[in-house]
Amino acid sequence: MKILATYNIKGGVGKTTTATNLAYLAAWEGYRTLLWDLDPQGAASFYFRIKPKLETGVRGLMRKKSALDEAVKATDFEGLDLIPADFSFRNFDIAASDTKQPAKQLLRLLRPISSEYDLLIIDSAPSISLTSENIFYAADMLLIPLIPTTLSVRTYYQLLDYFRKRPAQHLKLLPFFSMYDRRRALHREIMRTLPNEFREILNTSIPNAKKVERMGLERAPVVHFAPQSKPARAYRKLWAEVEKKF
Amino acid sequence: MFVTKKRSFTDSVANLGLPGLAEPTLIYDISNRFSLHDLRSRLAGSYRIEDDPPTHVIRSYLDTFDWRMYRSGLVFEVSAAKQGYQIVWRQLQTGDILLSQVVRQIPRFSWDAQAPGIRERMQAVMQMRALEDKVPVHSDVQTLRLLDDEGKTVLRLELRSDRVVLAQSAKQIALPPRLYVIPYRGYEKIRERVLHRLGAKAGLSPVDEDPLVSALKAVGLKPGAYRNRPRYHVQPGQAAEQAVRGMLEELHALMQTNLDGACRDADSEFLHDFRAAVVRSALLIDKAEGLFPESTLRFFRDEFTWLDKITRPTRQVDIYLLLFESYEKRLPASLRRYLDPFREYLKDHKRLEHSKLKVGLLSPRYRALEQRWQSFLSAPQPKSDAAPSRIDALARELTWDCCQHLLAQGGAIDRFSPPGHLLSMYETIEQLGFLLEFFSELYDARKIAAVSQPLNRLGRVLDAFRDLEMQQITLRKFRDEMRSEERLTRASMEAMDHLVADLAEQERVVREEFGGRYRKFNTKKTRKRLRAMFGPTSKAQEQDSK
Ligand SMILES: Nc1ncnc2c1ncn2[C@@H]1O[C@H](COP(=O)(O)OP(=O)(O)OP(=O)(O)O)[C@@H](O)[C@H]1O
Ligand SMILES: [Mg+2]
Repeated sequence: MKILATYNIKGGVGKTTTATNLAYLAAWEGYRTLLWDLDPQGAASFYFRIKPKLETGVRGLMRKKSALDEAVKATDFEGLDLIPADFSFRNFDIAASDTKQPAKQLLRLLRPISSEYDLLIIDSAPSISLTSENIFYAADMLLIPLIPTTLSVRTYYQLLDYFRKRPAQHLKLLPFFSMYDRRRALHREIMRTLPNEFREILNTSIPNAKKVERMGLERAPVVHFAPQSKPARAYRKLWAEVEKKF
Repeated sequence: MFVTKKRSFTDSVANLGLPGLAEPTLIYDISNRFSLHDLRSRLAGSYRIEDDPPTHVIRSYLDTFDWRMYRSGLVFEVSAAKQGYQIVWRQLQTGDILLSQVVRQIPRFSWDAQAPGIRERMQAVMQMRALEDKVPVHSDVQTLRLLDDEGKTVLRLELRSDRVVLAQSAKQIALPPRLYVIPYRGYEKIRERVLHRLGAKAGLSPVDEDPLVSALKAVGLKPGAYRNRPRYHVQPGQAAEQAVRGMLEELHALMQTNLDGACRDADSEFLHDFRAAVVRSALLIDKAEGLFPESTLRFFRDEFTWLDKITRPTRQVDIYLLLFESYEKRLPASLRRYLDPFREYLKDHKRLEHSKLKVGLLSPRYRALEQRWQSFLSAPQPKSDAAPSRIDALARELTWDCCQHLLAQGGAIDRFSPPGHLLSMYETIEQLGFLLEFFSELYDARKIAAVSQPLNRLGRVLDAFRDLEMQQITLRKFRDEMRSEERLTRASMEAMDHLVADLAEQERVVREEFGGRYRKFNTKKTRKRLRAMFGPTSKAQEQDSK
């Protein structure tokens, strides 16, 4: 099972939008896909009409071996399952720090179900915490949406700084531009110059588009309800590019 | 049991190493009077229900020509879906689902599957074989979906009326209407509640066989019924004409069984078996000199040579497609990707050659041959004044000739003989193998085993040698063709040359072993046994065959 996580220290950059659309596309391509909504806010669960609630809460999850297996819900889409968010996940850090290997808890939880899926996509909350440390440890790739603004780019520097201090060799960083607006000179400027500095920036960028905001009303990924729209096409391209990195 | 029992999925598929995905679909027989309307009204009070528009679905069950899925206890179901094809791959016995998803194209080979996980699992079951449609089922489906208060689907109920449609006969066989209860992972409790509610009043009775089994039963199809080996019924003392005709009839049946598959290119095995029958028939025609009018034999000899010729190129490309993986393994990992153009070339040529083959097999010339062949095979025994020759004598004579030829060839080969000499010797031993196969019923099984063993051992060396030699020749031919079609980069050429060199090295080893192997074969004991079995009749043998 490959593990892909969307991540950014900064909020509101398109993490959840990316995680849900890529999960849908992966399942559509035939990957048995699981989406884990690790953000207590539960936006990804919401998009799939699944209640953000774990019967066991985070503590139960840590204790009972089959708890994660029982938490899995089928979405309305073939081949795509989801582990819903839960508000108690705010306490994941506390629960994990009680254990012997605090940073390896997420991976440990996943072990019993890892053979059931080809791909796990994690949608994470914006923070640097023990949770994110767990994600970094478990994941093979980190998809990092960057809005092409100076502030957003600064958070990428911060992240690189973090990894300089705590190297994660196995982890591939895949930053890409999200919610860009061609009409804005600053966006154009950053998108032109930044890739020279960071070769790892993906070729595909996701434009800012009204259709994406409709996901909250439709409660489905934009690639599903508007497959021919600009952002849907961009997400398909992004998926194709990411798939190549496997 | 197909339904009721809930069992650990991993247990039932442990042998395949396949993980389980979802709870199985439950299937119920319902009485004809029970309608969707009844269903809805039973559930309306307690659940939010949504109707999907009724659909007509064509569902098909796929398997390899020799039913490998079925024999591995698996069902591979495909139905047309909105944006492609819905595949459901499940356990025959338990209904547990290994894979359920929508794909854009029906995978025919394991390597057509997009996701690597599925690819490997399919490969494990079917190796390099292709999937073909076994039983197409036309289905009228009415669907109810139960939603929770978020508008999320938590259970699907489908009322299906199925008809099995057989293409050959345009026959349609209706199956009784059934209710399919399709659960969603994580929402099992709702399913239990709904079933409880329906079960009591609607008198549902669980169906404990897979829909594939129902469809097969309906049309009286037996899975696994596939014949790819001829069974000759030759009796000691039988008139030679009659016996040869019988063998040719058997081979003809094999050709007919495989003709359609060879034309459709469903699986390379069809063409393989078709050609096996052609080659054997040609040999028999050749050896039937004197048994039938010379003009008749000449006509069939020419036509079977033609058949061999038009089917050979496709078979050759098939072989190289099947060998491809082994070629990749021969190369260092860094060079493997340079073989991709070769694979593409093979695939293109496969299309080209196969279209030519199809033209030939569907031509008037083939139909004319088929007609004459059939009337020849079913013609009454010609009256003859001369005493009929018996098949025993003919068998011995042919086999003995072949043995002597083999020994002469073997004796003439030394360390310096060119490869061509070994290739001819291979042809002789292959022919000898066919003859033993044709006439095996005439001989004592124990005695025949005693001579086949050393022959097989020698045959394997010659076969290995021929195989390696032919691969090099053909690879070079392909390489040159690719170059003249300008589809060969320098790196790809080097990769192919690397292969040729590797094969040549292996061939050298086999070639060096040949002398020793031949000496082991050519013993006094073996020669004596061959003579005793097939040599000019001694008194004892005449007694034997009476
Ligand atoms: N390409 C886009 N075009 C327009 N709006 C977008 C686009 N991508 C995301 N949005 C909108 O921006 C908001 C934030 O997006 P999203 O929830 O995906 O970000 P996030 O990084 O997951 O946020 P959070 O940090 O709060 O979890 C949402 O309202 C979403 O609809
Ligand atoms: Mg989010």
